[in-house]
Amino acid sequence: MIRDVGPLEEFPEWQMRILSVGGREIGIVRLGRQVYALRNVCPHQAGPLCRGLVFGKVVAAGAGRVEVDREHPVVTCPWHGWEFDLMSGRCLTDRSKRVAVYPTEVRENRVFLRTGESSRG
Amino acid sequence: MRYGGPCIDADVHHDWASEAELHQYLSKEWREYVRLPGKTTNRIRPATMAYPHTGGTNKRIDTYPPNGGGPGSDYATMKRQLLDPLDVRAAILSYSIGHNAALPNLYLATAVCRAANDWSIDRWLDGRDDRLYGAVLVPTQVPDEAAAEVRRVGRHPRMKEVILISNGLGKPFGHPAYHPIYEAAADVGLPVALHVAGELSATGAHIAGGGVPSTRLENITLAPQAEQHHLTSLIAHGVFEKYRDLKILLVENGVSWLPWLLWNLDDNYRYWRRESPWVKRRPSEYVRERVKLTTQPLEDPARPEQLMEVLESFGGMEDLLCFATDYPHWDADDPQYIARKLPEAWLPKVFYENAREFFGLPKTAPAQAGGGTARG
Amino acid sequence: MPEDPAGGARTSYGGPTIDACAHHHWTNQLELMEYMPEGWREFLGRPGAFPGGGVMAAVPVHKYQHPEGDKLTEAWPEAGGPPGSDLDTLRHQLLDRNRLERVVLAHDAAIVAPTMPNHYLALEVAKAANTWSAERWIGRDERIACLAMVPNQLPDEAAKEIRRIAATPGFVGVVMGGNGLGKPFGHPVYHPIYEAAAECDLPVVLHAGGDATPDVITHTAGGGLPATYAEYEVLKAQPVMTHLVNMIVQGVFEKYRGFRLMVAGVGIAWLPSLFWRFDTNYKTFRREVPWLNRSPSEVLWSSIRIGTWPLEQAPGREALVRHMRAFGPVEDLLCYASGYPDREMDPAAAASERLPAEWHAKVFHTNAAGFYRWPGGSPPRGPGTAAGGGTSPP
Repeated sequence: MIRDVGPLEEFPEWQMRILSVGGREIGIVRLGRQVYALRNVCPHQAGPLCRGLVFGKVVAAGAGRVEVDREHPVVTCPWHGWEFDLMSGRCLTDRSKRVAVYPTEVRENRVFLRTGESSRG
Repeated sequence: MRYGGPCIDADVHHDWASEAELHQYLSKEWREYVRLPGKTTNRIRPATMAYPHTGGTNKRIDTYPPNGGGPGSDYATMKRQLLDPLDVRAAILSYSIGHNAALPNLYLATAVCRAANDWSIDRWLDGRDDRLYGAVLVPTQVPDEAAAEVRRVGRHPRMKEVILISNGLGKPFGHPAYHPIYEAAADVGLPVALHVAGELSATGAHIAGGGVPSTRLENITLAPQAEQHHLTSLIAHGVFEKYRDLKILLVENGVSWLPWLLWNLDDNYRYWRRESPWVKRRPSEYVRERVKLTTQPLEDPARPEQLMEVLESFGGMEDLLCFATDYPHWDADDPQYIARKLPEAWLPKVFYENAREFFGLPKTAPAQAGGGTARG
Repeated sequence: MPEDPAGGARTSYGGPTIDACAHHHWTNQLELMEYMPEGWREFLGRPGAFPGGGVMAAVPVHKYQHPEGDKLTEAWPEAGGPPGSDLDTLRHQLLDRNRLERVVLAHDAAIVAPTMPNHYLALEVAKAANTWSAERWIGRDERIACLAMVPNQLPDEAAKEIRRIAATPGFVGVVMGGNGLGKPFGHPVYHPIYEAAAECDLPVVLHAGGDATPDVITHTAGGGLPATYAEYEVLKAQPVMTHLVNMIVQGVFEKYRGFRLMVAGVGIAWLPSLFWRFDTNYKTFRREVPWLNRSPSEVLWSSIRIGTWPLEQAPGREALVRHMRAFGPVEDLLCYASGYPDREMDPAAAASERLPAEWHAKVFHTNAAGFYRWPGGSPPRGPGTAAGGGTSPP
């Protein structure tokens, strides 16, 4: 099912907004024109994942040489801080843990969310 | 829901909404000292370890109350998030984290501990909620003052433990220098909880052997070392013999290291008696009889059977564990998550009965709408 | 044949045995001084020159002593000198009695040399100790191999010394005991040592006990200093845990591919609790250490080995095995070590009784053979292999 969840400007950058969609809580965050949507349930201890903070992915080629990979932003769970890739929903440090992500589309400056066949790990 | 029975949370952190809230419980002279013109600043907290938490705070981000204070400072939020959802019959409130007791200025540390205990009694243990119990915070740097404080407030009906949060003398906790604290605790009939969450920089001890690690990751991984030593030392210095009713709660260091420690101590017992003849029984006997460990953070191997194999290799752990969330800290354990990791038969003991007996709490009925519990 | 409740017939292992850690020592300091430059010999004292005889003691003394004596009573050689100083005694009591194919000698009290405040003298002690090992032990018995001593308080000199001894067959690794710079061993200041070791394909062996001398600034345990030997003895694993955690976090194994590490003298039963906690916390704190791209236990399985001595004496026969099996296939990690001539040493037969028969070939031979690059060894697991004990690879 495809739903119109509102105008793009109502989704502030780098900040998750949690919406109730079809009985589920889904966190939506915009970075530029890219919109990500993840289920608001952490696969670790079922915490409210999307109440966590959104960051660029911190990477390092060698000890101490820290850089940011802005192509692969993450949300960090507000409970234990586990990092989840916004696009794939996969936990960076535990491949067995993946949160459901939902495809989105931006058309005429409105955000559309597709639910029902979520991408699940 | 894996476990829907009664629960005692042995480690919850309450807090003042701002330091001004605590200042009211200081003497006029100390109040003047700690206040700076214009705004209150953290004069009553010691400098602590310099590894920031990667989340910017060591608290769960969703525990900030709507009224502006920090996590743990608002009763209504704590009730909504912790006390009510879980059928909590008792929660032990132990400050956030009380490391004010580690202030290098031992006079100020003593004053702040007194103020904290008075604040806790006045604002949380005032009967607003029968589920709330407290801990006596003490300045371990001056054990005689600590003992005096235990005697001053330790008989309050809602005070259920003495809490040691810092290692003021840089000596392991069995050292005779600390014995006045155990004497006082035994006098007032309270167990002593070790919540050493970082042998803070104000003390002479380190959280771990081998040098000060560089990252928060290492610090939190190695943190159980201090408590392992403290338990060893309590046994070595005959504290359990000297204070026949003293009970100890080890808080917030996990549980699966216990077999390693006690197998070694029991084995060493054959020659230990030559240098410590007052150790009259095998170390594991003291532990099984007088010591409990809180579950959090429960070790989390890929399969729960792995944890159970380690615990069962030692045996009897269902009698030693007391559930704790550590709300509102980042590494708090969700109760249902923990319940799924342990055998169903263990749950009534781990979640309720072990702590109820340890703290000498009455059996109670579930909370009523107003927030208190009916006495059973 | 005693029955093995843990599943497997348990016998005294009769196969080829490598002892991954025993200890050798000089008869007295004069013996070591023969390998020092003349000026240092003069400084330390011509024999008999000082009142009371003797020479200036170079190496610090350990603070904690076993109430029954640190060494096996029978290990004191009849000819005189301390335990571990006489080749014939060691041959008889260790090599022959345990039917060893090989033994790795790791020094004894001298492992604390890096804590010597006089780093010039510490360097001389290390160099002399290695020359002494090469001339008095290596080559005297084909079963004997030695670890080199280095002054880790001078990492560049230590690196130079590693490259010097690497040319001598019979040196199979580098021992690190005493903590020379007061930092956990993964700190970058120590990295020249690992660079040299990796370059020479020599492992480093972390040995317990290096923090219990008067002048060291690291502590031998968390929470303060132990009062008694019994406390010290169990807690001495803690600094080694700190070094393991720190070396992994500081990316030593990422920086020096092929670098391998063994820990010795700390037993084994602490492994599950430490690495479960470490793996879990890594998931929270990866952002702090983003150069670490695999879970800590992956590093453990691929590059680290654990000497068994002193094997925990859990009650009954199955408790320890059950405990360790919970962590994963630990038979791939463990290397039998006797700890001879320590009072708490583990003879091979006794150790074999406590471990399942199906582990024996690996624990008593193939793991150490692989680690020290001897024939019959199993190649180390590569990075990225999950062994079932840790978390899945990212």
